[in-house]
Amino acid sequence: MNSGLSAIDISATGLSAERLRMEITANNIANANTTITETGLPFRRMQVILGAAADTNNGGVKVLRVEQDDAPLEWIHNPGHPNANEEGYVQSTNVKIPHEMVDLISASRSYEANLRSITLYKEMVEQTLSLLNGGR
Amino acid sequence: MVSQFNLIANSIAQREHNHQVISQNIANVNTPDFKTKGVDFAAFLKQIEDGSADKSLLGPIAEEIVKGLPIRKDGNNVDLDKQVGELKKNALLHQTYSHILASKMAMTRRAMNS
Repeated sequence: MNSGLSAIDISATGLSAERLRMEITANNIANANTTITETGLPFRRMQVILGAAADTNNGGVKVLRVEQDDAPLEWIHNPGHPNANEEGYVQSTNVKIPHEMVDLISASRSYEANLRSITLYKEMVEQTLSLLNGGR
Repeated sequence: MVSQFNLIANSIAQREHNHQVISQNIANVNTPDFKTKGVDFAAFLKQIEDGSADKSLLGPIAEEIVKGLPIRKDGNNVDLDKQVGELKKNALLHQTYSHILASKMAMTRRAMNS
């Protein structure tokens, strides 16, 4: 019966994974126009890779890694920019704002669903505990 | 023969297990290659009818991968709306069993008091 985690712990792993996804997305949006970072290259979009915790049956979700998006960087024509090359182009990030907004919404909805799972579980436990009071 | 108390209590325990399985699906809604799991009560009922499962002990039913769901491009096939609906359905069934158990207890108490 008690394979893996309890229902609240399962949903809690979902909550923290979705929260991390939201944080990474917010970081991407904040750096959407960062043309130079510590490495000297423009900012690259980061993405969260999730995986089911496979060691147990109901082990929730875990963050496997946060990795860079290797999509090509964009070139923007802006001759006045200090990082512009001889032809007047600046290498910019590969962050796409619409893409990030969609990710943000999807993370937010998944977060809500996990939260709802916890709420329903809480109601179920309360219902069972009320039996100690004679029920109803 | 198992008492009705045990039977209802086992049903409640099964609902809790089912809640875990659905929570796992919801937690993995964005996990690539994750497949929706479910507990098939109808198949278990069939097993009881053939006599291949013991009906006096309604224990936990093993979860298995649900077949026939459309798979997304990332290999995941969790339908969030469906799972949240299942969750609510499960909670309502749990409530039903709790009420049955409560009225059963009230009945016993009445019998003891009169």
